[in-house]
Amino acid sequence: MTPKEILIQTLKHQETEQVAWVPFAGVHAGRLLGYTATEVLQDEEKLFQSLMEVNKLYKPSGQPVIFDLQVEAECLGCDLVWADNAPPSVSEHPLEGEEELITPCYCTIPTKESGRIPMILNVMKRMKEKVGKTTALYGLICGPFTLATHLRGNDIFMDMYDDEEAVEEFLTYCGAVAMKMADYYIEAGMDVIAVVDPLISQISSDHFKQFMSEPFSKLFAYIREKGAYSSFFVCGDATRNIEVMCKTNPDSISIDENVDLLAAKAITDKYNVAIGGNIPLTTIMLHGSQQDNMKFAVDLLDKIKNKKNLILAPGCDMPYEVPVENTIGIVQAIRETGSVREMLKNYVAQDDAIEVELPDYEHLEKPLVEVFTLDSATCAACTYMMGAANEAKKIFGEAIDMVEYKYTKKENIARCKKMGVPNLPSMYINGELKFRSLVPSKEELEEALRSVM
Amino acid sequence: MSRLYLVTGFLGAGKTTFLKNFLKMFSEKKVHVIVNEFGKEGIDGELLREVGAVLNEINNGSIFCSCRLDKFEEVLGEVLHTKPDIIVVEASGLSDPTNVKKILGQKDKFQNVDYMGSICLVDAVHFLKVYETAAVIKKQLHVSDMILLNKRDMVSQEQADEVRDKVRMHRPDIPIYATVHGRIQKGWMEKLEHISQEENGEVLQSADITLRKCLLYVKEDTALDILENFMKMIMDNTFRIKGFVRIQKEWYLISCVGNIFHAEKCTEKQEKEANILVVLSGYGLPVKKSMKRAMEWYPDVIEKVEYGS
Repeated sequence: MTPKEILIQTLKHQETEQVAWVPFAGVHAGRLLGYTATEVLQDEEKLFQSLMEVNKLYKPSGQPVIFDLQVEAECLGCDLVWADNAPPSVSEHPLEGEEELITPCYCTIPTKESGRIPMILNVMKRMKEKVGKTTALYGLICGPFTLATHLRGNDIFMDMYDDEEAVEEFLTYCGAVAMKMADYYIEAGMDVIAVVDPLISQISSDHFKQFMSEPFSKLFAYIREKGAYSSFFVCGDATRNIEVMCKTNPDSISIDENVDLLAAKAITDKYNVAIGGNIPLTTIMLHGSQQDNMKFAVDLLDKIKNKKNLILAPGCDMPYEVPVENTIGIVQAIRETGSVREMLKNYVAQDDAIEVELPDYEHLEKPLVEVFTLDSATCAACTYMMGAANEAKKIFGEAIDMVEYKYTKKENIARCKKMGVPNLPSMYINGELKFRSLVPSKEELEEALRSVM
Repeated sequence: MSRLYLVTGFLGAGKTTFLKNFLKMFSEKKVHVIVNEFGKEGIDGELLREVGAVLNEINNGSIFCSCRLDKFEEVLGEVLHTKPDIIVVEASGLSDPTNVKKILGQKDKFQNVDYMGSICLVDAVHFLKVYETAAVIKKQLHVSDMILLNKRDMVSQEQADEVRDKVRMHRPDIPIYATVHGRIQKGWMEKLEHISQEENGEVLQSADITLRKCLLYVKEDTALDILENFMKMIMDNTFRIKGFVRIQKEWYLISCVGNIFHAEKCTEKQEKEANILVVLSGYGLPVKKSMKRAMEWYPDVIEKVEYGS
């Protein structure tokens, strides 16, 4: 059985002899050959070579061709800021600040000629030809809600209260963009269309049902009709939305470490949806040792008794700097679980024991907003949580203090532990958890701040 | 060889008036005009027939579809078969002409085209306002080889300087001529003889989702002054309003740029063109809201409003 067959069988909800493995090497693929994130996301040849390197080193059952949620947004006029070691982020949202949310003309939906799409389609075709027989290829599209947020900025969270009809209409447009992208990618040979919508973790189940159920159900039905498999990617704490996500009927769901995989699998199994995840990106893949990585994979596999409908994968797009040996360790743990288990039986993970000092919350001079993120430059959910905080800072100015703690730094991981931060992104005011995985609207945050002034 | 000129400029910058003057420069030649304006409404096309050039329209049903280049290529291909001396392409005021050189550079398709350059009309009155809201203006400037600062007589020296500075900021390398009523001088044209055929760098194709269109269906029994009052309530939130109406048994061409209302009597038009006004607006212009208010004030003017395209 080829690695690809293992994945396809998993997506068909059949038993497999081994667990499918899908390393989400986006910008990290470039690192393998010494290319920057900007290079690998813009240059056809560099992207292709990097993906081939991923395929060679990480022996995946499935592999994304490009992991960049900003492709569609760029085609629709969003300005991007590029980085060397992370995907670009949207710096200007074309519809932000507009009094009215008006759905754009459908003629603006990206074509095969728009933005970087021609380059991406070429790489997809080349990958299909080179490794398409043994590796299932993933075409990643930006989910309707994340795209809506890219285009409308943080205003979308207010719109969901103020102008429900406009939001529904707007999401239908964003869903139509997603369908078109799925068309292009399926035509270029993609086996799986992954609808990546990290912002889903930032809304309530009620809002999900009201706004998202329909566009997502339609999208997954459409992908199925076109003969491809589908996956619903979220990141952040989407625990409360796992069940409603299942009800939109994707072939699989992918989650990160913010969601308890075991508990989530109990739900996805009920709906016979495959689930993928959730190797921690930062604590294990980026900062852990090779043994930590192998141990995590073995422990996870041991914990999950029913391996039908299971895909082992990083929680989301792998950080650029993940040491190659860590990922290779995971591959080893999946392929040779028994011998790796034996090898690690006396292994005890090292504790870095970094000391951090917490502020004296009782005696602050002014309100302190602390935003704990995976990294607001790379994780879309974190970007918009941080965006909300930045907006508040603009309004309150010197009257408040604000700080972001990115989980990519070891001392911030220690700080998270000490504070007991349950999920990322989360926002604390004066040491108290105020917004956990839910981006507050402008009004909500302002009110929370005023109440402590 | 056919010499091809591209005319760009934002909505209401005066492209049609300019074209009438411009075409007179080629009175001895066989001229083809390709118009891509206002989709199916084709108003500018109608006006241009007066000039006597052969006219081809690209009506692809959507004014934002600069991306629908296939249609443009098709029409250009047809026009080239007739071997005209001069081809003038008037781009839609909202179109993004970024890829013009790339298209014309396809020598297998268009080997008989000599691209003479792009003339961009800049409206001295409204430029500063629309510059802030419509991203497409920057793209039009980007591909230009000559700028005509039109309606110079309608603004102060100070404002003309400000507009010129803004344009210069984008294109310090090309000539800018101030003019009125879209006039162009022979001497200016010589500058276009030596333009570069190189593409202006690789620019990714992207759409401008902040542009909006809606259609207003006007009731036949509306009085002109009431229609004007209605328009005045929404005009501030639009770039352009245009179309033919037959109200109280008279035909008018309605044409508003920004907050200037203009109506003139015209000859009878086709029934299907009657009483549909195209309203174009964009970022920062809450047209939906002002439309709602205007309809509350004047409930008997508008039959229905259609948003989108």
